Amino acid sequence: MGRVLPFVVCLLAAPVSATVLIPAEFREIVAGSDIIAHARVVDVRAEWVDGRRQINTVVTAEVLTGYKGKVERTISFKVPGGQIGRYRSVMVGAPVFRRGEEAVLFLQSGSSETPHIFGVNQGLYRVRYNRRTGRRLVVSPVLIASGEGPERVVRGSASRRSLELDAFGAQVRAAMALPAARQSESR
Amino acid sequence: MSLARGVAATVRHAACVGALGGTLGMMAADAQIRSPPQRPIGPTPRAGSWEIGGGPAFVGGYDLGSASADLSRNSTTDTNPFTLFVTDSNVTPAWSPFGRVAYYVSPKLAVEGGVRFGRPVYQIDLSGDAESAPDVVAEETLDQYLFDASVVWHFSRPPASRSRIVPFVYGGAGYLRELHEAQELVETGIEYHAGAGIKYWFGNAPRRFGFRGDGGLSVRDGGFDFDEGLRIVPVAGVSLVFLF
Amino acid sequence: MTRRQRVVAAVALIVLAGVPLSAYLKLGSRVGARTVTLQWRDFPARYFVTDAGVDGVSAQQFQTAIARAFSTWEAVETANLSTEFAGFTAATPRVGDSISVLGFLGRSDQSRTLAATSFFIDTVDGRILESDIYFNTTFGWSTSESGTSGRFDLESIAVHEIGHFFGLSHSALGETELLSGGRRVIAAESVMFPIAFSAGNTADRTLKPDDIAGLSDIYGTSAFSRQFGSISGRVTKNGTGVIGAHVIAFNPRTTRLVGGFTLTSDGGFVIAGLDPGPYVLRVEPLDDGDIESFFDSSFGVDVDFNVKFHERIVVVPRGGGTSNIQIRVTPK
Repeated sequence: MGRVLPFVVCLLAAPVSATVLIPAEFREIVAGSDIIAHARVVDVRAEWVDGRRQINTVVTAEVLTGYKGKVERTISFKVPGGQIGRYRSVMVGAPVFRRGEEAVLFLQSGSSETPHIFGVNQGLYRVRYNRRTGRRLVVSPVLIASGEGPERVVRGSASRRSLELDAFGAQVRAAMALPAARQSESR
Repeated sequence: MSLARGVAATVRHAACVGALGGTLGMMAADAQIRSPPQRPIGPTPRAGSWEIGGGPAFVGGYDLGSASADLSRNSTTDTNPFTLFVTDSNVTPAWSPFGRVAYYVSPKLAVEGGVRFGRPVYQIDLSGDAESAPDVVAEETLDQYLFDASVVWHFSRPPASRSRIVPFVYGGAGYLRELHEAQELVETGIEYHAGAGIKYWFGNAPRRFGFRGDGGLSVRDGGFDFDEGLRIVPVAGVSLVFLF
Repeated sequence: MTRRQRVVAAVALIVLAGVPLSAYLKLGSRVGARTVTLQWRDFPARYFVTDAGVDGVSAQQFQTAIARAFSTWEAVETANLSTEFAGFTAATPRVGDSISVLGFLGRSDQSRTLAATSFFIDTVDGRILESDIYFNTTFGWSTSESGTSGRFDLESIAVHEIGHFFGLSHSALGETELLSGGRRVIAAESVMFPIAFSAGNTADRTLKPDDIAGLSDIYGTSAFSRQFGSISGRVTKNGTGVIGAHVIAFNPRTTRLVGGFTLTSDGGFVIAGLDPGPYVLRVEPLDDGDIESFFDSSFGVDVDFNVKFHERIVVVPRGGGTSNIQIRVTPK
């Protein structure tokens, strides 16, 4: 008889969230980000920081489209965790990047020189490129509250789908034009 | 065994004894009612006769109740559970072929054993989905086996009626075995039953065919169910019998 | 047709360039060409607690709440594990010091993160060298028995993070609502849901069946393997496997909910740790904006399908598995 092997999530290749988050609504992510850009990862480099008490990974990406902020030809940002030598540091919830990947990044400058992703992973919208069709798809749907009152997020809603990159960019620009949203009640 | 289960077991046994006692009581009453010796209706089965039979039985279904798939609420939003969807479960009635062998201890008293096989359908009605998944009735087919034994008391008729119809009562117990689809899981239990019926014989020969029809109640303890209590379903059957 | 199969609570497999996932979801680490389940191999797993408190929570209160949270997981009867409080330390919860530390940290760069768990792993054999958990001082904390309005219950958040400490990832058994400026949980049926209940809520101190199934899957006793079973199968759309679908198994007899995900390119899923008996299955997309809390959304995750129930009742055997369940979903 065969054996059933329950599946697991690989920490390295797949960022898994082991973090308790306060999710932001899309307009808050837009308003709270200093830099918003569609970019392609060109370099990933781990480094010791904080007196060798922490490992961060500095990700450098080639900017393909800038939406907000002063954006150069490339941008660099940091994410918690990384591998140096035989040892790997993983913060569950922090995203992992590979060369060649594309994403729309929502970055905050913070107090350090190197910006970080808004909300650890909330400001990361990965872009899936279909070489055959040339289409770029932003997988994670955008969540925007339509009013002030609470509205349930219904899974399977026909109105919420993965967006083509152009349509996603339009959502970003539209959100930028709106007033910044209020802070979430959960804070 | 917990006190509750012990009490329940006692009640079950008392009910079984009561059913058998009632049957025996009726036998005794019949014996007393008998007036002066009557001419029997043809050759009644002599002690040592055998009777075999088979046919279809209708076994009633039962309701398993409702259950909701609930998520625990964030008390900031509400206090009642959030219901993701609702289920209503039941087991359908089923036609179940059976076979039976009886031995006449006396012209009126027989003991019999039988086996019955049925394929009721377990249904779950899925509805009220919070995200508008279409309602569905999910099903699986159970393989239901009952191996039982009974005592049967036949009543004699007045000679003048010349009737070939023989009423009877029965009572007994059995072993219930139910297999889920693809036989992944088996659930067993004990079954008690009691009822009444009639036999109609073709002719008076010592070896003869006849029809049998009966109906009664089947009381189950165990088997496929959501509750630990007793389950009562009606059962009725017709069969072709052969006496020899 | 189903077959009896032996459920093995251990090493999982991630296909898709190593992106596996699983609803209760287990963490794994790449060792060479294979992936090993991230789990403690030696017990008791020792941990230290930072000897510094914050406003409203002293170091001793913090340690007491942490101890209760560890005990909650250790009390799972179908799992073999133990921990040991090794003492207070001045060290903060950061990797690279060879000790597992739980404590408070100010992380303004993670201002929407209540708490987080990190691992330091030896990639040669996948062994956990240390695991650290920080609680963000950006937020107000409470250890009161019934919770404090406006402050997050430390024990509840600790139970979630310690689930990660033991190797669990996130569960998708939850519903949320949008408010202007944010999103909050309406309800959840797993402590490992990635979004916390509101401040003052203490419900997540108690494990749910999904959490227990996940922990038992990793550290299961022999009795667990004999008593519980699994369901496996595929979710497809137009004949193609759906990746990243959330599959929920519900037992109408016990009313327990356990979830799983399709993790492979052919839409394969496995849900283990299930009581024997009949189940209904329900499939839904993770289109509520939280994909990255579970897995890398670039790896072919599909959210464009409708929620649906499986039309057949699925029966889980004792100590085995029901396989080859085929669920076909339709595009939105």
